[in-house]
Amino acid sequence: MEYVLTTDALSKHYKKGKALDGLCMHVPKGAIYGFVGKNGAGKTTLIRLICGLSHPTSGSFTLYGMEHTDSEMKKMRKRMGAVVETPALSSDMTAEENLRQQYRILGLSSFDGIKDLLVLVGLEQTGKKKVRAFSLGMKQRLGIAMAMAGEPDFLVLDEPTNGLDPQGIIELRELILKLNHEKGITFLISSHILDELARIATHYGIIDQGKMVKEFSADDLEKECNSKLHIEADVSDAEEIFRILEERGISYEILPGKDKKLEEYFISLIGGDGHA
Amino acid sequence: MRKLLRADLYRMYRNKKIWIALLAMFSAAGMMISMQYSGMDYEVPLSRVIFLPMTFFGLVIAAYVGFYAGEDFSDGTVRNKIVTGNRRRDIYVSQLVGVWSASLVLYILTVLVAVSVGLPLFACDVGIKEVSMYFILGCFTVLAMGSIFYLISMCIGNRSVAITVCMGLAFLMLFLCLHTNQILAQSQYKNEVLNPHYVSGVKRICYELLHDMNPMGQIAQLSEMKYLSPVRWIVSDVLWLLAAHGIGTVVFGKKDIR
Repeated sequence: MEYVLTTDALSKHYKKGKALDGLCMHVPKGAIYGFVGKNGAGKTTLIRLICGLSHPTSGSFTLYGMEHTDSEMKKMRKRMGAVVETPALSSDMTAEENLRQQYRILGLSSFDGIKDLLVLVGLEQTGKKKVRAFSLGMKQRLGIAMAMAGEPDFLVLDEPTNGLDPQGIIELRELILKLNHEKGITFLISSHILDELARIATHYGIIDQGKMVKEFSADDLEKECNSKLHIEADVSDAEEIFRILEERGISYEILPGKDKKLEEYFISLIGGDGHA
Repeated sequence: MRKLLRADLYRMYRNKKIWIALLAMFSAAGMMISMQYSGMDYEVPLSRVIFLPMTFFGLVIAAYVGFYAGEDFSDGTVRNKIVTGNRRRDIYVSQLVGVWSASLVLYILTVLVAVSVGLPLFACDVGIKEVSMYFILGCFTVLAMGSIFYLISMCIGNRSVAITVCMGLAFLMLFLCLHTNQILAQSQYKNEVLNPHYVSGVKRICYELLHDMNPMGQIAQLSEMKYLSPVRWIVSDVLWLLAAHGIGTVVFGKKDIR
């Protein structure tokens, strides 16, 4: 399998402790990789490292097969875009001016693609409105457009649904799926909202205390959750079913709706109260 | 690095802050020239006016650079430069060049205003050659000053803290300049009696060195169009420029960007 990003025993230590502790992960090409973990598990630290915003204490990572210490790494970085925590935007500029600035930073000779990018993220009507007057959802979408400048084939989104209203979440989900399906862009998405992630992710990585607990695909998750028989029954019949099962000594578990399966799997791996 | 420089200069001159800084310098020039024109009962020489508004330069550039460099961190736009594969050294240097350009623009336009307003109002006692020499010395000073405040802002990486620290340092340099200036201005004799406050020997050299190394001390000399040692002046500024570049690229290169 071809990987866009791999990490090998990647560690980042601060004075307060270890943010990443020998993390190994593999993001396959073309995947939507859901990166799941509790607050402080090390998700943003990993994203900062792969974006070059901070330096690893030990271990290594590769982007498109190139070691992070390679002098040519900057060429690989040009193939990726990222929105780390909050979108990095100049608040006193319009959406178009921000994109033009990003084009300048990338050294692109023409501003031709800007209009298309604005249409892609649904911000073509914003005109002369400054970014400081944008809603959080608009900023998030502009952040993605900024990350899309230069046509990268790997996008890293750190908590992209943070602060978005339900409509904004739906729009963002559709945008991610569209980019993945139509342009073949690989995504690495860290998110707290497991239900939301479960709707789009093709692969998952679960991180806890700076370590990778498990990596698995959406198919693996499906198989794992289907190894037990799922019975749907009216609540009124439940008592009778429980009685029969108990008489025959068969263990059972009462599960909530099926959208919860990633959440349950996460809790079974991590333990605790499941605050991802 | 050219692409980064293009982006930084666009951001700098598109932003209102540079024009606010310019307005502050023009206001300072207007205020000081009118004070000299109306407050003195003798004909004031032009040499006292040309560089006089520059006494405000340190405070204005400290606030401006703290804001400009700090904003790149507070908006997070510095991350865009790193994520897109630009080398940190290039990012630091391109912004430093931007700060130099802003410093020079503020300096040149302020002096131009002072000369154009001052020429018809004051007695012309200086030639172009002398003014040009001081103007060049002033260029070194403003570049050094911009570099120092830029270094601090980039090391701090937070807009409000950077502005506070830069302004604090500007006041500290100003007070140090006032102190060294007061000591060095003492005449050796007062009423034909040896002045006890006059310092001489090694101590005097140290004070002169301190005055020359302090960009605010240089501004004080510039505003009076007098100097202690032009060579020491230029060497001090070149050392400041090299230090700001060297320390800045190393510190920024290792810094974890939030």
